[in-house]
Amino acid sequence: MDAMLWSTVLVGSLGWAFLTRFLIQIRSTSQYAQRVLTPTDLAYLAGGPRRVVEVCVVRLHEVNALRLPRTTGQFKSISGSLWADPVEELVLDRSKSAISLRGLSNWIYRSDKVKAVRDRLVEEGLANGPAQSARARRAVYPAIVVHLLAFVMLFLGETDLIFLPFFGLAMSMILLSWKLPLRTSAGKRALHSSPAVEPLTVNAVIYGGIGAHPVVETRRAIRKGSVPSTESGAGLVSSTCAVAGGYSCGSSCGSSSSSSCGSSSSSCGSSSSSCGGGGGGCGGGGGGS
Amino acid sequence: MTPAHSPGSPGSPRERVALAQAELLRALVADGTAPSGFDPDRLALQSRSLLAKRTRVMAAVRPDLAEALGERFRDLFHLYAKENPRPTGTGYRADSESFTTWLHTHHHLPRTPRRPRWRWPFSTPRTP
Amino acid sequence: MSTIPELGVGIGWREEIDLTVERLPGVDFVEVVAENLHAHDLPESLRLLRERGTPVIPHAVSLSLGGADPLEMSRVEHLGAIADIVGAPLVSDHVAFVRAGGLEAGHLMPVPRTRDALEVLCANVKQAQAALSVPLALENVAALLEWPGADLTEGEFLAELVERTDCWLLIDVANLHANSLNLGTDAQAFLDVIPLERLAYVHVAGGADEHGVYHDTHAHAVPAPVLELLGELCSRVRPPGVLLERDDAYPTDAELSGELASIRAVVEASR
Repeated sequence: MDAMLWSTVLVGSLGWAFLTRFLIQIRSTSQYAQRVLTPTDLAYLAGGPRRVVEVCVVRLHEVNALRLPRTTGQFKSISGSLWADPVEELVLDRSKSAISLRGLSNWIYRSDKVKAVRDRLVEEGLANGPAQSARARRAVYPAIVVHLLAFVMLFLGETDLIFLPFFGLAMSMILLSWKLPLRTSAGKRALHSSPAVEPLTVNAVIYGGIGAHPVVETRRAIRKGSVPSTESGAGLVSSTCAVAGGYSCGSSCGSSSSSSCGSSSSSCGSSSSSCGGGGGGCGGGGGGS
Repeated sequence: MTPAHSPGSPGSPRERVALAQAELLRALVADGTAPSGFDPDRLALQSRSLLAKRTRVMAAVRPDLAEALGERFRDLFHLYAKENPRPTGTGYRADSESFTTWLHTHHHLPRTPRRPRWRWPFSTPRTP
Repeated sequence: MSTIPELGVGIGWREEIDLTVERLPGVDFVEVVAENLHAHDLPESLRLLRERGTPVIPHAVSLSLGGADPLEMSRVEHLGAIADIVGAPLVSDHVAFVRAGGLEAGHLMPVPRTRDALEVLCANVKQAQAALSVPLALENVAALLEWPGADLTEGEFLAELVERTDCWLLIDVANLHANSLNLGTDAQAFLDVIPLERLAYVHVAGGADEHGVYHDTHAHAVPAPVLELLGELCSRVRPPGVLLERDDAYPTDAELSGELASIRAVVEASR
């Protein structure tokens, strides 16, 4: 076959893959212009699904719906708290017993509620979703096929193009593994043209992640909560087990790994009893529930 | 009358109180018979109350177990607790380990945790 | 004879509400559950409170001082170590037993109010006091059942305990309220007979009625009758300290602050 034609096919197939990718990236709708992006939208555009969870947690913490003790670094919802967003509802539900930010994030970032945030942004042309990824990937397949064919031809001596198949195949592989950006060009513009979110703590976390939380105490507590208890050196992990003022065991014990409680003889492990707390039946005990 | 209330009964005061307290506790948290002189309704109430508290503490120490067992958690733990009163010096952590073993032995929980699903690396957009 | 310093109004420090306790206005002192702490690794929150000069009182739940089993000295030593490290003015535990016959009760069980049991309790208390470098206060518990064959009322029992051991009293008005509802304890007679001059501090807590039984849950708001009992107590003596206990279902900071304010109002109304 004509080398010129071959070159055109090979380069063209790669061009198609690039073009598709480019078109996905610059696709645009005017839908989003009709609404103000919510903090969760901005969080997704700025940092993806985990950022959405982080921003919801920080917002709830800001409005005193979540408590974050410095000793445990684990969030716990304050009963009766209200949410302003479906993801926040999930966060409050998951933090009924104490849980670290990492734990919350692991539970929630793949949930339908977060996917709904993504899907809406995808629909509005602001973010890329699995469908866009699949489309970009499919656009690379023709290039792979023709380059493999070029190899066969090369071995059969049908063509003397040597450089192109090697280069093209390498390019195809790179294209195949090159993930689409989280946000489209329009998404990037929307993100950067959005007015600052109040309070500014939430704004900082939207754009910079939890590490950008302006309150050192909070950052430290969150970091502490994410370290397995055995490493945190917190002797306290055992804690409220002993108290057992009925419930109080919640947080620390639950989350801490096996450590502490059982081991320390003098304190937690052995303490059977209970704190002044909960007379025998602490909260509903009486009914023999 | 329990021995603790009979000054004339043998042994030291400590021995008499020990007998009475042990008898009461056996009745409350193990399979002991009700000691005489107590209101049976109150004994039952106290017993339920102690069991309820132990259940709550277990759910708090091991929320993962409570979640894995769902609605069966309470009934299974009550079954376990009746067979296994907490021996002196056993903390709640040890109790939770013992409960886990009991669940495995009685095939209420699979022994191995589920492995995370393998994910196609190219299927999701990258997150910064 | 040792004395108890003026403590004011306080709240039980729990790790779940550590920042709340640090930030709440009007927290003059805190109490910590000794079994939850390690002497070599005090939580930062407690260190900060100590640096501010807030008194910290270690409160034990597992000594089983009313139990006939030999006193486990390691537990007393742990309590003493925590007291030393937080510079506590006193420590406390309960008039209760938590284990017997090789079993753990899992809660604070009332002791029989007999001469025998008093003897055992006094011996244990004296043994614990000998190992402690600070005063020991003992708390009345909430009971769901009554031992048969009592020789003394609860007030008389405590009075005699104080007389024989020179210990201090930690009066839990919520427990007293629970006992008066559930067991028919005469709260007035109780307050009449206990040696109020040996009162170290007072516990106040919330609870809830369930199927006609009052449960001292520490997870509900403090009911009015408990505050009334506190008022009754304060009309007889000025307690060195009054402490709010909350162990679960922690409400908002504002609600906790409100409960502390109510307690303070009752205490000050009696002055």
